[in-house]
Amino acid sequence: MTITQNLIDHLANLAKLQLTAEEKERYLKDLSSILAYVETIQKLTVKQELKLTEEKTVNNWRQDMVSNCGEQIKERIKESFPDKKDNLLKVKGVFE
Amino acid sequence: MEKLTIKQIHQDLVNKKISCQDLIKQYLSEIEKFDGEIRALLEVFKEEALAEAKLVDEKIKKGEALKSLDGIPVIIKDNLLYAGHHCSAGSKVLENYVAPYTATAVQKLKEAGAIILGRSNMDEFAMGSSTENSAYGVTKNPYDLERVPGGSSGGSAAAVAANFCVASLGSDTGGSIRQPAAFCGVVGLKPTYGAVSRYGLMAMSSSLDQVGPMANTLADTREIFEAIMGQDEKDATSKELPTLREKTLKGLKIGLPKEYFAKGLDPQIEKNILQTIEKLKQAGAKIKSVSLPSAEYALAAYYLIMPAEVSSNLARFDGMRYGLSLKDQAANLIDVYKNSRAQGFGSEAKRRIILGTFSLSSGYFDAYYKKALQVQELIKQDFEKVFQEVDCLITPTTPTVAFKIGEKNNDPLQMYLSDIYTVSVNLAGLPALSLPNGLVDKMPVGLQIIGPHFTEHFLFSVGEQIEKINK
Repeated sequence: MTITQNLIDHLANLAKLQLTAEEKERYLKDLSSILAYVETIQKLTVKQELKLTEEKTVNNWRQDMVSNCGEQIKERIKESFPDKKDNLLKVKGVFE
Repeated sequence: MEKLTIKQIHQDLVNKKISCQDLIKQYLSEIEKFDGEIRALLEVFKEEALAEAKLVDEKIKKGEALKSLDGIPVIIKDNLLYAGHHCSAGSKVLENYVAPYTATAVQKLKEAGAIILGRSNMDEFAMGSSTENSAYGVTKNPYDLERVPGGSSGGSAAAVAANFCVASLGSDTGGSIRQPAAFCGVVGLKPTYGAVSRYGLMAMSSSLDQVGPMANTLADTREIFEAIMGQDEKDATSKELPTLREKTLKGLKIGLPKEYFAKGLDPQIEKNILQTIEKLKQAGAKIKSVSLPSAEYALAAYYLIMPAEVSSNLARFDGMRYGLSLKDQAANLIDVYKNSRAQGFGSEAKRRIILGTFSLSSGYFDAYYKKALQVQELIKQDFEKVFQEVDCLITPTTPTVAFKIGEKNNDPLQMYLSDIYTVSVNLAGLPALSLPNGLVDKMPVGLQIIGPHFTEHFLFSVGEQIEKINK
């Protein structure tokens, strides 16, 4: 398929990525050549009834219980916050 | 400095031929001498390693028994969390990030006594096949400094090859342990999906990622694998491994998938692998040509499934909770996201996020992502059928030896093609071992052994026999 600049803009917007003009041009070119390659899978005829990835590997679930990770881990997580107020993570307003 | 094995070190420590502190100092001095050029490591935990070595020496002095990995110097890939230590996944986004907790695989190594010497360079978020995509510079291949060490666990492979440590941990999503192991002439294992806990491994493509060991010898790779494997309640996909009877070469049925010995394979590598096959035949193994008909679509399916998971896994780097945040330069919430991600991610990460967003987006999902999942199912079925006929498969790990730094930098598709022999294994969740198999043009060649799910012990026993006949 043909990749347009509009599609790149749309994808960048969905992915929350700010792209420069130079990047947009580069990814348009890259995406076109990568998609031309990956589209080869469309040649493969797959029977519709083929069951999709029915996992043979069963997950081992643990009890759904709240466990305490300990103060040190909590402190380290808080130290990674870009911004905080008291014990809370601070972000820009969600509603404007 | 001579390359030491875990067994040798253990004996030397017990017999007091060397103190653990002197041993660690020797490795640190190798790093100091040679890593300026190779650049395998992002950080060396010098003081900490020496303090831990001192504890091992005290234990020996008191006559206490040593654990299996006591005093063994190990290096971990920079996408494995180690509490209180920087962990950047080779990305600028996490330049100042400090791990709040420790990955299970690292924890298990520590519990077995290993000394973590440092963290190794990698392609950003494990995306790459050459370690050229790191925000912290390019790692070089110890065999030839003009060549790449492979990737994405290139730092871990180069560190083992350069004798900076006895073993290292890497992660493998599409070949990221096996391909650098092959390029650097070391042993690398990509375990079965679920054989090793992924807790504390930064997610790239969660349905494909596995943590695994690299070392100079098969026995050491096995020792490290046995220390890290097993079920972990923090990773629901992890399991205990069944114990398997080891097979001898006599009567062993080995399959050679014809799709792996086809166009694109360096004829000298083909010759190198077939010579070993011939020796295996003489030793009593039965060699059979087999077919994996969907193999030719594996890389294409991989480059749809993996980026889709990447695009959702990397959504967490939003400048809100950790990592690079441009909150002060942004007017609103959306701009914090967009600008932090634009500044923090390198070009390959962005490329894969866009590609993955494409394959998951409305209008393209069925023709691309869903189709790729169907191909994945066909690939799984191919392997299942083949393993009814043979015990294991042998292939080259890579179609070429290590390429030159910069050679494939401007052509992402060419770079992706270097994973052509490794990705199917991840798509099918299988275990595979890469063994050094001599040299071509003075560069190491990797031989890959692929087995059914959870047959790592068997793969090691086949590998040991190949090691013997190659001697």
